[in-house]
Amino acid sequence: MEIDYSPYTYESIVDDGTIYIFKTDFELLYEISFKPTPYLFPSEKPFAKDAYEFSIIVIENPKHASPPFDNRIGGTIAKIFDSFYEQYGNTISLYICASHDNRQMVRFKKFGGWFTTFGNPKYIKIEAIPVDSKGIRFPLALIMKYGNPYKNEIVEAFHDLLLSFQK
Amino acid sequence: MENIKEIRNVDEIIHRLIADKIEMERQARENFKKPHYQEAIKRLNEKIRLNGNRL
Repeated sequence: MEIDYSPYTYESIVDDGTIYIFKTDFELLYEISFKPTPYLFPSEKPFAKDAYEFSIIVIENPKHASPPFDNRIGGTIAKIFDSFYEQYGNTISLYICASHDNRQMVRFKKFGGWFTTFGNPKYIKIEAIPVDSKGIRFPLALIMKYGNPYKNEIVEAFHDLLLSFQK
Repeated sequence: MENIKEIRNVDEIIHRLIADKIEMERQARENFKKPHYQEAIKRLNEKIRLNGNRL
């Protein structure tokens, strides 16, 4: 049987295109959001304003079951990414996995799998797993376009950020 | 408008990112009930009705 990877139809919630929704075959309603995070990099950096935190949120789950494995979600998120980057080409997206239920590595692995399968080759992804002062691991991924004019400075600033974590 | 103070302590940055993530989820569930969100769901349902639920 052929696996269905086709993206779901999606819709933008707000005019600035920072929030999208889609509905799955299993009746789950997902929201994909991009929230500005100008504090990620030092404010004097010209790319600080282009940083966004990216979130995948289950808004409605009428059957109250755990979201089943769905091959179509990854492709849908990839399409939404493309749509967002069409509007804001210099975006630096940061995906950080919540740790409240200790399932952050599972989420990170799933996100990484989606990126590998569906990610547009125009993007670079840099991964890191910093550990906070309480010993909690926070896997995160930074994504930008290869064509970002500040690509090298962003990589350097991200490394500086992570290095300061280890001090 | 929130006054964003300069924070360079990475522990703080990570925790702020997580706090923002939790806030995004809370806000999304709250916005879900609002008219503009319900309108977007209607538009989505209409797109699905006309063209199916795939791009």
